[in-house]
Amino acid sequence: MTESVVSARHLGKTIQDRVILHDISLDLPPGNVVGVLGKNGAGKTTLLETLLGFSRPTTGSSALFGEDSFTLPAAIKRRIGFVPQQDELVSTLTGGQQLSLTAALHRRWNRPLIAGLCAAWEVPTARRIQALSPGERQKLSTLLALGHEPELLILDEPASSLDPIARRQFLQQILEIASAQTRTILFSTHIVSDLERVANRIWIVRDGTLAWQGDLDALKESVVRLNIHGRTALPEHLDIPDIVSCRADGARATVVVSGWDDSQARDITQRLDADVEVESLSLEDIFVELHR
Amino acid sequence: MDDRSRARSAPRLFILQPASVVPIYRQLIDQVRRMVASGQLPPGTALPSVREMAAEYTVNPTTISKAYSLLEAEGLLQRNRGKPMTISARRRANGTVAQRLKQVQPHVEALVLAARQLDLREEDLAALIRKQMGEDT
Amino acid sequence: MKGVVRIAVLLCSYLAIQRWLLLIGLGLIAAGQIFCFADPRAAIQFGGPAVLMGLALLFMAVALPLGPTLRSISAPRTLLLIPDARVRSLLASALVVLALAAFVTGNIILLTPRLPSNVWGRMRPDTLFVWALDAEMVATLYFFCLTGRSAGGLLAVIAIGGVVGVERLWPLLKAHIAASGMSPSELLLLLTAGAWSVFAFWYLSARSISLTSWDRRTGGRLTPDRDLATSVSGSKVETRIGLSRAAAMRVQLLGVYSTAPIAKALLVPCLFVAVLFFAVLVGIVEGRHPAGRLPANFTGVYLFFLFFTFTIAVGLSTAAAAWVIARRSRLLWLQSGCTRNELFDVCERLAWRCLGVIGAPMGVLCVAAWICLPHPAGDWPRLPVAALAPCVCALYVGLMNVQGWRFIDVVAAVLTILLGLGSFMATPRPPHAVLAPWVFAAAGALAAIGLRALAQRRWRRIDWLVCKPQRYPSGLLRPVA
Repeated sequence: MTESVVSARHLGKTIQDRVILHDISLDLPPGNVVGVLGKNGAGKTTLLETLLGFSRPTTGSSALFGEDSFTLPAAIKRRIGFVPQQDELVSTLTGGQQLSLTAALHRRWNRPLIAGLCAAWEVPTARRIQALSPGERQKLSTLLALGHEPELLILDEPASSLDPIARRQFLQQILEIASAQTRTILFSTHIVSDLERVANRIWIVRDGTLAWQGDLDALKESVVRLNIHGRTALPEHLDIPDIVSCRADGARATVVVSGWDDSQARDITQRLDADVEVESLSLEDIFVELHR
Repeated sequence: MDDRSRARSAPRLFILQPASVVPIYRQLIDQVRRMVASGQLPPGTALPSVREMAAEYTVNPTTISKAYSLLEAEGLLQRNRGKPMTISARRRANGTVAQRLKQVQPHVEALVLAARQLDLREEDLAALIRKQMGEDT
Repeated sequence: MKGVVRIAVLLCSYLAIQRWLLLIGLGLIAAGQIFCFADPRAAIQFGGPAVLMGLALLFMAVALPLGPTLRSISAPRTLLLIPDARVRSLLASALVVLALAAFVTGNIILLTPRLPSNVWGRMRPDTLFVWALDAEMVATLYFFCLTGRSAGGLLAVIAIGGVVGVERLWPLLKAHIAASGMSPSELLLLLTAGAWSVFAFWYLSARSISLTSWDRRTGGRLTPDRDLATSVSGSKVETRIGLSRAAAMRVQLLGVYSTAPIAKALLVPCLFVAVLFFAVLVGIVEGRHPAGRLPANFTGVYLFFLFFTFTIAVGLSTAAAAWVIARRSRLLWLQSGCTRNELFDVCERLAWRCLGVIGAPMGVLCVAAWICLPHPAGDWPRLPVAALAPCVCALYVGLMNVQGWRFIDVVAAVLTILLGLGSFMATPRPPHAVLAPWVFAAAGALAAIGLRALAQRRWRRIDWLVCKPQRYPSGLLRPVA
């Protein structure tokens, strides 16, 4: 059995009487690319940073590579790379100086890799960081987390200020890392299209809880919208399992269900004496529907 | 980077749209099936490796390997040790007629629904299907 | 007008610590005044010092943060889109300065009849008001300029401060001015108005007002890695880089390679403060002696003020530096592999280094003044202790403030300030001291040890979700651009 890279048991976090995370349990085996999706203020950053051990959970526990996050030993920290939402670069240095600074902090540093990426991503290494654009800062900040070739890479909104080309290059690099099957990547975003490309698993954070965790494909296949046209007026209670949202008016109803299985369609058609149109949803639609 | 751009110089085989409502692995499976059926991919054709596909289309490699494994289970693809996957020589899909009919079930349902909305008669639709199948074979 | 008042209130209560100091200061003043009225005989013992302490707290709560606060509310460029926003901010800060000067004057006027004249002397209300106004104006502009890059503004203030000093020190010039029929306070009022005009002109016309920065250079021998982008040829994956881990951690935490440029950057402001205080002090001494004869031993009081300035400037800067260091530590926890305890040790060492480096120019100045100026007998040798102990406490107050401003943080900060004020009040004149100086020395040592223990305990479970790295701190000094 492979040990899980990230795990949490009933994790909860309260900061100054405000409940930010509540009862989150998760387990992540290695080799996955997880997209963390959530509205602004849903608790994505808090979740990632608590998992990382920057903060002690108020309730429950979290662990990385089987070690308690809050007191990670140095050997485990070396296997982790983190890109914060707001970069923490030393703005008086040049890009190159910042790179060698971070390199000096690590035991191993893949210099050719970083040099190659610097050139490919067009990160200016000779200019002072305070003169860089937000996108360039973000790229540099990401490079700092890649140099020691971490097994677990945690990125908080890594591509928010990148242009489409830079974003594509960035995603390709993520995939390059992910092709080594033992690496795990965890990234939060609200750019759904990025997530659909590179993530194979998805966590949806809603109001401090995990509204969904699982395969992206499974999510897409199991959440559907049903357009029901009844021949007569539909009953008030439709009795369909796992309803996410429901809007009914007389003989017509629009219902979003999770955990859908195509065999259910026939059953509903017969029971309600209605035509049922099953509409697949894009991830963006699913996200919106889950927040209704 | 150089390796990758060379790999990309070959024309694209598939159209994968991550934003579509259909999961990417499904899109890939459907397209391989269709291209095999239409003879665009003759038996023995080597498909790009999982890694190449992931880099080319910027999609997660596990998605590609999931599609490949399902196609292999279906008998459409053949795994070769240390070499790229190829289209198998045996073109006939396996499984009983009932199983294969089940696979087209969703398409039929969609077709019937559309026909009802357009107020078409059953025999007209059946005639159309008969004609279409006659043309294809 | 309503908008101006609102901004003025904001300027006085921007930070939580400001509100607390304001509250405690006002409380002390009220208590002191009541005490003076109730029992005039004990006024010299308790009432007077209480009011003065309250006024000092008020000065720290309002006048010192006014400059940085004005800067931080002026910095966002969106402010330019709001009509008259800068004019209003400027008027509001002028209003704050005027109100505070009036309040200080009023309180001292109220207090003086209750006190024996040989100790407190008599000052004319207008002289007092102008001096209070001038002190605050210069403090505001000075700290506004110190926290930014507007060297022009700084130079203007230095020039004006210099003129005041020269006017005070140079009897020839004084005689010349006296011949023109102006009184010293009229002259000062004129200079104050001039300084404000220069500042207002610059403030209103400046295209952009940048946020605080310590120093623009790294001042460093940090090996530049220009070739990093070009040398792909290396086949070895692991390459050692010629920068020690300790140095890397220092740069990451402090933002500058060596602490020398910080000291260099602070030397000029320290000189300025010395000149300013000298000028103000001579003015006050002269105000109390209308005959125009300076008392022989006033330089002792000057030394006292100089050391007091040392405490305020160095204490505040050190606390700010420690505060910033604490906030920059979280990535290091991950990257360097240090535990929280080890990180505390690293940060503490660095904060001490900052204290040394920030205190160095001022210390040199104090020693030079000590050697050059005649100092009277008394308890003066305790001055350095009184000056340094609150700075050490301030260091730990900054370092322990990792959970936001909790009640205990406010208490610690207020105690540190009271310790500073108290030990200075106890030091110069033993016969009149409220408490023996050694009590304050012991209290300072104990407080530092206690605060360190508290800081260490907090760091053991430091929560970087609360202690967030901030790009735009709401005031005070910041060692990183």
